[in-house]
Amino acid sequence: MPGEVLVYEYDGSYDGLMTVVFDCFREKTVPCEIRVHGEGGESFYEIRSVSADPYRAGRVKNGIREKLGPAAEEMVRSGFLYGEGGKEMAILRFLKKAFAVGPGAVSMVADPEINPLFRMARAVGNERQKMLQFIRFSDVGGALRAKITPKHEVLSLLGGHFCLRYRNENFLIYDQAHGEALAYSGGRSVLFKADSLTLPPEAEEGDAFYRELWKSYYRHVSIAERYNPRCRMGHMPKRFWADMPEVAEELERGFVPPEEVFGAAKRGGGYSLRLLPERQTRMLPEPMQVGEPRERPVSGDETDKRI
Amino acid sequence: MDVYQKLAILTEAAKYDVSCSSSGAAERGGGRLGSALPAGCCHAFAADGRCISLLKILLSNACAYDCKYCLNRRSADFPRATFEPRELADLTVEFYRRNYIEGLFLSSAVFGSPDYTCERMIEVVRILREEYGFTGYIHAKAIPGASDGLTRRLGLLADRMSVNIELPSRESLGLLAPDKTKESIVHPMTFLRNGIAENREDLVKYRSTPRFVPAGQSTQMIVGASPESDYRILTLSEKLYQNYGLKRVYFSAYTPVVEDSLLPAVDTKPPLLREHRLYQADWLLRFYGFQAKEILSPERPMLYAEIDPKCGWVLRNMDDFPVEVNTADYELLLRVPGIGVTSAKRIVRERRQHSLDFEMLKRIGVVLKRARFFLTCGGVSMQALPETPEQALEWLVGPRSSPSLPDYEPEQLSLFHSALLREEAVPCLKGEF
Repeated sequence: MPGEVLVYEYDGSYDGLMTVVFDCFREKTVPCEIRVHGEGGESFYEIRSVSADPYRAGRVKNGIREKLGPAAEEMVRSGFLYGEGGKEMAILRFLKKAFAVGPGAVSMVADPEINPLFRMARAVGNERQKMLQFIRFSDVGGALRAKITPKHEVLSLLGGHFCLRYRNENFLIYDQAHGEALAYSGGRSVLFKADSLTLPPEAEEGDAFYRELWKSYYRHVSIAERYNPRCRMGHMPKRFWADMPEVAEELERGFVPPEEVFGAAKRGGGYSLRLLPERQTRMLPEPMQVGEPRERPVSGDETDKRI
Repeated sequence: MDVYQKLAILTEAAKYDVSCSSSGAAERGGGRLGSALPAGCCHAFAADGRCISLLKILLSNACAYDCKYCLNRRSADFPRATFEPRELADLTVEFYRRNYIEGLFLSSAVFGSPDYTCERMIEVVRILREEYGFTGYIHAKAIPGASDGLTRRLGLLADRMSVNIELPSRESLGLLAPDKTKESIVHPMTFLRNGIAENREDLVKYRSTPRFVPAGQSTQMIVGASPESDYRILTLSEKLYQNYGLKRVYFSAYTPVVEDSLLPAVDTKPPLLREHRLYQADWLLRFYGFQAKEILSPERPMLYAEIDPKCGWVLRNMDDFPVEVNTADYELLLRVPGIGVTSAKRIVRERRQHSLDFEMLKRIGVVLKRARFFLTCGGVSMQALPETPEQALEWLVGPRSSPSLPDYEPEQLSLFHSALLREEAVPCLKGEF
């Protein structure tokens, strides 16, 4: 347990943290905190400042790869992308335990020394999955661009997927929460830091057309009789909505009565569909009856994810 | 009529189709746009909480048939629209580029003849695959009545195909879908099954064989439009998995869209809870090693409303519990309420390293809300264990007015007509369920 009256400071890079880990192993100490330079206030504890050293960091990285295996390496790597604090100590505690027990450590997730990093790595993986689902690109003169606001620094984990998927496109993904961008063009991708990035304006004629079509599709595909806002929010948390054209408007307006969410409304007994007079017209269907809150109705495809 | 209007009409016409999964596709080489995710990917969730993974749309809703339950039926007074294949292909690609969708779910009403409809569908998919080099997911409906040659061509271009059974018995089909027969549905299913099996053999022999329906076939049944029991639906699903190698059987709670004396009244609410319970049972069949006859029987043909089917099974088999976490087989762990495939696998992997207690179970993410009544760790239980099924039921769902199990009630079907499930209390085809 963190017993020593000691705080390590590093530069925030992966190599920096690996250097701290090296020092902790060499000194046989466990500090009570590891933090980035300039973060956190005054401390009564002894502060040791460490700058990234390729040699020491390299030895730790080699050790992880050779003694603990690729699964452990991946867990540490993705744990490092965790954005809600505490990742440094979790990694150090994991490595202390893992170097003691060997490659089996990654499957000892119930262990109190290993569990925190396992949870962080899992949270990062989940965030990556959400990003693959909910990133929305817009077309700017033939190139694609997207803006994201993830909790964890997952941009580097998205490159592989989108570079394969859009292999003949040019695209840019900008993570405004962490000031990072990923650009891809002609088979090569670059990840770079960018605290502020002026993105090309969104409102291109051709793009607005498909965005409107998509919003219309989104409204029309839901079934009014099955209205279930909680189920939707569970799968698609509101923190993603701002960057998604189909729900951004709903988010801005706050609560939107269900009758406006749907593309078509029931009228009297029969079923009728209202035609749009023109393409850009917003639909305002007549009010309709929406059922009482039901006992957790779940759609079929929701369960798909539990496979 | 412009694309915007067509999209609105044909989306409305397609939305009652349930399947939207994009899982199981194999990577197709050589394309220019698109990739497959083995687990599938939901790109949005509609206001009804259902996933939107694919652009689910009809090529046309100008149907030649007159199925009673269907809103596209010939006799309905309803705006009709038909996409040009190229329009729909362009739409798919543009949506896909923006990461709105994972691919296309292409279905169609039968316009002209089944063969003509199928040819037009092939044209959409051909443009996508050949002209755009699109390697994303494509799910295509097989058109009953189309020639085998056309179905085969479609299957070589698509990832998944499906034929909807729609109504789970021959009688209901005859009553509600007079233009369809059981044979017209079974034929394309059999054709797909044989094609997939042959293709699998060919792939072993020749690596370059084009793949035929690599993500398998699925089907859908409407629940609540006709009087079949859950038992009947579940045994039918089981047979489809076993005999036809289906990947999925989808259930669709019947949403009344048309007025007909043979159908539930238009103000009937869709039986969502029943649909949910059927999916739970379906999961038990596919991933939990259950058989339909363990879950239901002819004497007890409906699933419980209050508890899930696994809990239902446990209450009838209290002698097998509690289960010892550190020694029980994987198969038995899967039968504990609240423990799913992920948790069971984690337990098995974890206990190779060290023995487990309840604190550790919590840490690895096992949900103990229901499992705690049926588990011991090293011989110790977390709390007092239920002694009788009645007690277990009470602990699972809270105090009830009547202490008896739904099972023991003389008329257990009446359960579905109680306040719990008013949506089920519908005047159905032949009176009662």
